[in-house]
Amino acid sequence: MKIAVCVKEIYNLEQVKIVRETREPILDVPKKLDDLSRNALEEAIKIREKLGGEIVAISAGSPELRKTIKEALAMGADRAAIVTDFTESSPESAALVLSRILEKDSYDLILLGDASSDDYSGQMASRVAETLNLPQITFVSEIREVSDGKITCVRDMDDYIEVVESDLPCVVSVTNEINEPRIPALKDILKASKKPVENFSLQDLGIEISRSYEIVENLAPAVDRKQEVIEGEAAEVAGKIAEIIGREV
Amino acid sequence: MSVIDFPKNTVLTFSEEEELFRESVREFCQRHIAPNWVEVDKRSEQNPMDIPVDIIKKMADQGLFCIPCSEEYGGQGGSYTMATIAMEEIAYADPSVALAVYALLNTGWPFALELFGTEEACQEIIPEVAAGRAFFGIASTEPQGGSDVAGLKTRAEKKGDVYILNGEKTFISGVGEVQKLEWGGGWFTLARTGGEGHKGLSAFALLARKNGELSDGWDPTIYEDIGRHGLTTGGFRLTDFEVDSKYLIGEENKGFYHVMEGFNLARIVVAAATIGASRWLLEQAVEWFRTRKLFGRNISSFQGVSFKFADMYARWEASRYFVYRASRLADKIYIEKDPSYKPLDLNVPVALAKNYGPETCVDLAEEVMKWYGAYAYTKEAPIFRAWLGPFSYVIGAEGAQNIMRLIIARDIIGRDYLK
Ligand SMILES: Cc1cc2nc3c(=O)[nH]c(=O)nc-3n(C[C@H](O)[C@H](O)[C@H](O)COP(=O)(O)OP(=O)(O)OC[C@H]3O[C@@H](n4cnc5c(N)ncnc54)[C@H](O)[C@@H]3O)c2cc1C
Repeated sequence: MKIAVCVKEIYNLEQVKIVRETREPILDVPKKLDDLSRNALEEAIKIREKLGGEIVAISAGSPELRKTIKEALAMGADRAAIVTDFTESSPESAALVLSRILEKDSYDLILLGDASSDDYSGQMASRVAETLNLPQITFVSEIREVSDGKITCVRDMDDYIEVVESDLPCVVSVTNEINEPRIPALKDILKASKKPVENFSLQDLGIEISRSYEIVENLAPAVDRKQEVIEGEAAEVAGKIAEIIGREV
Repeated sequence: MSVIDFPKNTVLTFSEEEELFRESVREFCQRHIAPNWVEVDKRSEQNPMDIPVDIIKKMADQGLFCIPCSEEYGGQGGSYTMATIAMEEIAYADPSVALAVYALLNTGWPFALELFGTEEACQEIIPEVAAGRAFFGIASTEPQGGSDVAGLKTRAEKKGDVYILNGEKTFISGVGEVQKLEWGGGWFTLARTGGEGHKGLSAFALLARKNGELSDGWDPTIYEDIGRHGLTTGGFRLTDFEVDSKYLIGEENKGFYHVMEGFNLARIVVAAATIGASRWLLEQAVEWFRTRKLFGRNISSFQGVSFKFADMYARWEASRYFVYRASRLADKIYIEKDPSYKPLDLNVPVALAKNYGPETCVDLAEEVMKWYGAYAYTKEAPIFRAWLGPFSYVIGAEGAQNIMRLIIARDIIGRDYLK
């Protein structure tokens, strides 16, 4: 089995602060591997544990990706193929870049997260599958079987589940219920630095980035508080609070 | 979101691998330790033998023990700074420091065994410790006083291929663990093989239990501690206790020197644990300052509060410098084996870290409790647990605070001028 896992670097969202007056995010924070990318990688590792083979982490991002990709290598990817001059990210251009990297090799399975924890556009699996002309299975909460050139997955459609079988090669995107990603141990981290990383530029891949849309604003949502003040005796106030909770919840 | 936006630092810097390791330990601890530490502290307070074996096993699986030990002995093959990072993070998640101390003893002392012990002893003990199936700490303290290591009384008589040990050790961490863990374990210990003073002492790997079997002549007791529950403290009497000569650590009658190097290594990670617990305390304080209002203003608007906080913050940063300065030096000596650095070079840097880190943590815990007010005096608020646990490292545990001062004064002023 040769598995490609598309992983994304994102800002460490826990550290992003918001300017109170303008609601703009302050993005001067370190980057890390996106959560669902880790679920996809974990699933690839489980398949490799059963069937053997190789896992290649594929990613496009900023120069910092050279560092972030080590998280994927430490988790268990055997090598990586990345583009590090891709800073003007949009789902369509990202899908194009990933597809160009994927085309450089042949894979039995391409795994992705369903969406990334930052933009959450959820388009990548479908766009990559279309570009590469491969079948796709999205919203996968369980991979039941991989054998004889076929894959069987459970799709979580919220109200119902669907079991889908496809020929390989195939693009599969996973949800966060699928597994609990492993945390790399020190030995894995020390090994990661020695694993090969192929670094392409957009020019190597013959891609010129164009954008079909523009981000006009990127602001934190405004939260209007009602700030209702309830006055009176304790018992009375408690009664009113209970009433409000009953109404609102 | 992290509570405190720590200032950027270009002096105390870490490699990519070290940062990645810190993140991974932090994530592990957030998943498995932070949600459970109060419960562990409470349960083991009721019953010290209620040892969190499940968490110990998970920590072992994550590779948090024997961090600088060689991979051929089942260690992690990391640096001493990696160990230091891990202990800071574990104690941040468990500021009672019980789990950090479990991890640091089982990192510092197996490493000291690797430095001086026989191949056979290392092959037998270190893999079990790394796998979380055995405990391996230090047993030097005796009833007549811990600080006077050179005066200890336990005797070891050589008879053929074995040493026969008689004596008593007190206030020893891990007396419960060696009985409860699957394989067992023991300690890096000292006993008198020669005459009076430090030149008559030899070091041994004393296994109270191995392969699940208790050794003859080992009679333990377990103490009721006031803090750091989750890691037991106890004592034991040795009556004609047999130690095979393969467990002699280093040369006969050179044990004092070996144990002092071990103490230096262990003290670095002890201090690391206390700066981790202090970081948790600083965050508790800041969160409180941002919500608690009195007289219509945040309590941190009173300079009596915020200036004290600023002083404590400064002491915490200073402790952190001391700790990592010592760990980097330990890497030069023991990992990189750079001949321009010698083990004795560690004395003052380590004593600075061990003197300052625990004291800062305990003083900070007291301040935070005052800032929280009466709530902090209830058992519902966990802050007191981050006070009583780290206090063991001011009192003693790897050397009393005055002994750290003694080392600094002796090496800086000159031994002859302290007489
Ligand atoms: C929770 C806990 C766990 C422990 N775990 C271990 C363990 O695993 N292994 C182990 O071997 N020991 C352990 N100890 C014991 C610890 O190392 C000793 O407490 C320490 O060495 C001090 O010895 P002591 O308690 O006998 O105090 P003493 O040595 O009697 O000292 C009492 C006081 O006198 C002061 N003092 C002593 N000598 C001097 C001097 N020369 N100059 C100035 N002041 C001096 C000390 O600073 C201290 O304040 C543990 C202790 C605690 C509290």
